[in-house]
This record gives sequence, C-alpha cells and structure tokens, in this order.
Amino acid sequence: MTTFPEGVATKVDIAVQAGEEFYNLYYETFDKKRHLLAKLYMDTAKLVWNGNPADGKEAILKFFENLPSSEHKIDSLDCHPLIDQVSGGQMTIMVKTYGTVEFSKNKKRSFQQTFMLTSQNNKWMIVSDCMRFQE
Amino acid sequence: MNSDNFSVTAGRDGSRRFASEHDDRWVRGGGRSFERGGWRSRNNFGKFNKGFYGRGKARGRGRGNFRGGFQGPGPRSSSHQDEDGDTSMDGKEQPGAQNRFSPYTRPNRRGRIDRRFDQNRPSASDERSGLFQRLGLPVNTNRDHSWFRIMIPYGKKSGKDDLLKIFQTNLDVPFNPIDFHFEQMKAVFYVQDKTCADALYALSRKITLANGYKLVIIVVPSSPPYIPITDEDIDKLKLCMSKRYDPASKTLNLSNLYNDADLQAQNLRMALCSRQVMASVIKIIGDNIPELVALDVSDNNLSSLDHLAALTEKAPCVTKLNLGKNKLRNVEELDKIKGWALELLILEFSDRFKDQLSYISAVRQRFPKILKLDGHDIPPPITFDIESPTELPQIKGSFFAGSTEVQALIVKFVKDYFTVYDSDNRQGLLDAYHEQAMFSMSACYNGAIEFRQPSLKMYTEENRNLIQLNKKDLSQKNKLLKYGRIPIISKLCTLPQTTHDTNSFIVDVSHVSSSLLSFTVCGMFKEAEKRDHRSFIRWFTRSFLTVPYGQGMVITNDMLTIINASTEQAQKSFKHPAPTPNSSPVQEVSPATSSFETPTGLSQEQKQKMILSFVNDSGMNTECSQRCLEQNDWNYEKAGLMFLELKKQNKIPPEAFLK
Repeated sequence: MTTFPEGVATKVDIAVQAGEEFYNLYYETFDKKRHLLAKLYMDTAKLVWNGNPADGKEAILKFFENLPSSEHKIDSLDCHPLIDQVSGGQMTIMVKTYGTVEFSKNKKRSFQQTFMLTSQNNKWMIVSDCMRFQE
Repeated sequence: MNSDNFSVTAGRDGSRRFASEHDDRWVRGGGRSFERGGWRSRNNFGKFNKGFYGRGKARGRGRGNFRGGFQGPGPRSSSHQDEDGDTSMDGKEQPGAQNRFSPYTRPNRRGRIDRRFDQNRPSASDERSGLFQRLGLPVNTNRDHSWFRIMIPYGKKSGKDDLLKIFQTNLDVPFNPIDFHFEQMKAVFYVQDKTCADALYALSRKITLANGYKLVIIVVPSSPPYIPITDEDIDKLKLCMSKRYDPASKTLNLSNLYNDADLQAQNLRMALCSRQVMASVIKIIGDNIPELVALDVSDNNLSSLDHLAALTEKAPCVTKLNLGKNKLRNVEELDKIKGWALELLILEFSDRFKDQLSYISAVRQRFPKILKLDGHDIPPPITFDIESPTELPQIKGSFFAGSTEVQALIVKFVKDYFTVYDSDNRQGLLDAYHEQAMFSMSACYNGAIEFRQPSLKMYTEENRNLIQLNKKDLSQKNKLLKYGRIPIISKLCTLPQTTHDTNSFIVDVSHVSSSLLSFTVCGMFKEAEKRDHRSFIRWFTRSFLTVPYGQGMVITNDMLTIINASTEQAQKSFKHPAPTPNSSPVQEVSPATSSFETPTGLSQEQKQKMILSFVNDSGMNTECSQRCLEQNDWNYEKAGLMFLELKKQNKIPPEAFLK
C-alpha cells in the first residue's frame, strides 16, 4: 500500500478529478465543435500528432481543421500530478488516454494520447499534446 | 461454424458432454440408416421432452443400437435383428416406423440437430450423404474447412508427452494434433480431421488414467487455431499469388484459394477466412502490389470482412471487388471496407432486399461511386462539389523535437532502460527514478479488434484504468499509483518478464526545456512464457517525464499502458532481433557514460567490509548479502532499502538467513 505525504495526496486527488473531467470534455469538443478547442490550448502549446509537429495554438488549430470528421471512444485513462521540483509549484498534471478513433467514418484505429495540463488563473490549459496511432 | 450447434450439459463430475453423446454407437454400429433415425429421435425427445410416447418408442431403438455398437462395424446377422425385433430399423420400406417418427423428428432435424449432425459426424460421408438425401435433408459435402478444438480438462496433470502417447496408442486413425498447449490446467489442441475428432470423442471416458480418473475429452468445432505461418509457407503463398495476378489489368484473383491446386500439391491449405492467412495475403499485397485495382475474393467462405478491412490501406486504389459466393453475415459488413471507392462490386445480396432499389441504395450508401453491381449497370449518383477533408496527414516516424542532442540522450536512455527492464532483475532501474517519482500502469483490450483477444488477467490487479476503476473502489486510485523509488521498483519486479522489440520503438518528444523532458515510447513486447499462461505479443505505450540528473536524467513520472497487438503488428514484430532501436540514426553513444549514476571503483577490501556490515544489519548470510549489494551496485543504502522492502513482502527465501 502506497502512502503519500500529505501534499502529494491532495495533488493526486486533484489530478484524478481533472483528468476525468478533461477527457470527456476534450474528445467531445474534438468530435462535435472542434473550433472550440482553442480555449483549451495555451498560446505556446505544442502538438505532436503521429510524428507531425505543430507549434503554438494557431498552428495546432489549423492542423485540426484539416483533419476529417472524427469519432473518439476512450477506453482507458490515467493521470499523475507533477512533483513541485518539475512544475515549479504551479499545479500541473499528466493525462494519458487510450481508445479508438474513426476519421470520416472510415476505419476504427486504436490510439494513445498523452497531455500535459497546467492551471492558469484557475483554468486547466494544455501545455503539450502527443498522439500516436497503434500501428 | 461454431459451438452453438452443440448443446452442452454439465455432468455431475463437472465435466461437459454433448447431447450427441451416443455418437460412437452409430458410428461403430451396424451403420444402417434407420438406426440413426431411431437414435436421433431418442435424443430429440429426451432433449425437448416431447412426451412419453415418443420417448418410449425411441428407447427401444436406442437399445438396438447399443447392441450394434458392440458388434463391430460389419453388417449384422439377421438372426440378431430378428431376435430383438429390430429389423424394422433396417428398412425404410417399413411405413409404420417412418410414420411414427416423422412428426417429431423432422422439425428438429431441420433445425439445430441437422446442422450439428452435419458438422460433427465422422467421415463415413458417402454413406451418410446417401441417407441424408434419402431423408430429403440438405447435404453439405464441403467439410474441408472444419477444425476441431480438443480440450482435456486437467490434462496438465498427465503432461503433454503422456497424453499424446495415450492418443497415439488408442487411436486407429491418423492423429495429427496442431498447436498443443495448456490453458491453465486444461490441455488444448486442434485437429482438422473429422475422423480423428470423432475417434477422440469416442475415446472420452474410456481410458482410466494413472491417478484413477477417467480421461475426459471434449470436442468442439472451432475456427482455425492461431498458428503462425512460417516464412517458407509465405513464400509459397507469394508464388501462388503472383500466378494469380495479372499485372496488365492489375487484377488479383484469389477465388477459392483454399482449393488452389498448386498449394494443395505442396500440402498447403490456405483458408482466406482465417485471420493469419488473410493477414499474410494483405502483407504480400501491401509489399508487392499496392497498386492493385481489381480483387476477386469470391468463394472463400468469408463470413465477415474484419480481416479484409486492413487491405483498404495497403491497396487504396482497389475499385473493383468480387465478394460473391461467400457467407457474409449482412450488408453492414461493407462498412469495414468503406475506405475503398468501389465502382464495381459483386456481392450477390439482391435476395436479401425487398427490391432492387433498396439493395442499390444500401450499397451506394457505403460506396457512393458505385457504377456496376452484380454485373448490372446502375445510374451514377448526383453529388455536391464541396467535400470535407477525408485524407489523414501522413503518419511519420519518431519525433525528437528537431534536436539531435535530445535524440541521442533519449535513445541512450531508452536503450539502457529497456535492457535492464528485460533482464531478469529490474532492481537495476532504481537509479533511473527520482526520489518522488510516480508510476502507474493500465491495461486495456484493443478497441479496434473485433475478434477474441488474449487475456489481460495478469495485469488486472495493477490496472489503474480510471475509467474502469470509477465503477469500483475509489481508494484503488491511490493504491495503484506507486510513489517513491522502492515501491516503484518492487512493483516493476512483479510485472511479467518481458522482451521488447526495440526495432518497433517509436519515440515522440512532446516537451523539452532545460529542466524537463517529456516523451512517449510506443512499441511491441512479448511476455516470457510461464507455466500458467502463454506468451503473447502486446503493444505498450509509456509516457516518461524526466528531469536532468548528473550526466543523464531521472524519471519523475512513468505511465505505462498495455494493449493487445493487432494481427498485423504481431506479425511484423520480432522479425529482426537486433537490439538497437531503429528510431534513430544516432546509434552509438559511448557506452561508458551510463545515464544512470552508479558509484563504481570500490576496492575489494571496501566491498568485503560492506558485506560484513550488511550481514550484521540484515541477518542474511554472506552470500545473499553480497548478491544484494551487487545487484544494487554497491550502494549500501539502496541495498538496505531493497532488502527491507522485499522482506516486508515476504519475498526473501528463508535459506537466505541460514549462515
């Protein structure tokens, strides 16, 4: 049985809660109102999509615009908080998902995605987003 | 074909038997047609409980058969038949018997019994076909595709060699077990021969084992077993396919591949409906003729397009497809190959639709560009000029944020990490983790695969999949997150032994700064074969967050996800067992600078002192103390922590304390 120091336990709780909310919100927005994703990415956010990089919110949004319509289904979720030494005291979490996605109702592909989210003015913002198909 | 056709009941001893348990009797018995009728009626009545009248009658027949069973396969002497009054069974010209049975037996035969019969009966097929034809039943003479899964409950107790010996000595038919393995206590193998399957079935409960139990043999029809196709067979298949390919029209004809004369001549049977065969075919097409335009897969017993679907990516230009003479379940199967912009399709589904219009519309819904269906021209559709994006960006290899420095660092780290991870002692990873590091793992079935997948049972306990945990115990969320070096290492040590295919590794760097490096490694691995489970190839993805430390870096967050591999992935992986990741052209970083900090250069004397003091502190003997220190690179504190942790978990054998 792992016991956390007190500060860590709170952070783990926050991370789990945020992650659970995030994955629902993110994929629903992606599938149904993709343009609103702008509100989730930091201006300096970074995306790596199957090895294709996009640097900054604008580039990321443009990249998403050119993707066919999508339908995600998430099967697995895990979240960690970052330790203070890394995050510099600013609450930051990692969220890892696994699921399937169908682009333009074509073939179902399985994929994994890892996000780093940080809190800015009490809002979670995506710092980095890394997605890869299982193939 | 599937086991639904059987009705299985559990016996008192927990074993299973099939309703058709009198199988052997009529096989070995007189073999006269009406006996079977009588036997079958008996079972039908018994099963459906149709009333006393029928059952009583049938029982009489059963008795007759029973005798027949002991008389061997020759024709019976008429005196016996007379004596028992059973001559009526012999002749279909006995109108009375036929009348009595027909109202009850007919409907049942038409339904499940008939199918069961057809699949499970042994090979005296000519005679039987005659019988079936006489009775007006459909005769399916195409039995070549039948596989049978043979299961021996508690077969493990006897062991493979003993079991095979028993079968070889007791079977008088050719016995060729395929893919023999154990599933927990059960021995499992496959045979592709009805005669053999039936002979095995007849043997059930006939043999007493050394431990006094009867040998129970369960036989079920099954889909073909998972047997990896050898490279040699693939070459033969390739040759066969090249003969069937016309480069001028870019047409590949795979019609009725199973009965291909060339393959048969080499004693090879390739059923395209099998997942492995289809995967091999797809790979050959993808590697050699991705420009394919027309494909004929008619007459291949396909019931689904699950496996063919992968070809839509390997050969995206296919516009003509022949799916005729297959057994496709429904028109929805076409959804799986929507990736092809088909113009010509042979499906032969018109009788499944109320009219031609709805048939065309169902096909056009999947293939808007369709021009010809089952050989008939259909008018072109009217379309709009705006199209939303349908093309995905190209999928690229590893991404190292454009920095060769980062690349070198990570490649070295990954190489070091997985070398230790795949060794038989993962304790060496202690130095790879930060004091306050966190680790968790989740395992999940592959959502893109629709067929049966290998079990993930061995990961259930550690699975921190928050989607599944939500429904269960909330406190698990904290328990399954490992915090601190020792808990992490002891957790890693309990995960199954692995071998990673470093050639399959893909690394994506998502964040680089002077204080932080975050990256994800994806790739294939297989578990070591263990006594109670088989080794499977799976896909993993591992997200690391690291901070600089000394010359290298240490992990602060490690998130592992394990997913079952797709057929294609499993086939591709472990082909080139070179131990260097192909993810990078930067191959050789000086091996002298390990990314894990390790104190070295202790003299023998210092080591001896350390061992003595460890013996005093731990209470273990010299030998074990030395090993513990060695495994922890002579870091006294680390060795001590490891010792305490293992002791807490009761993992130190008592002999370690014998001095």
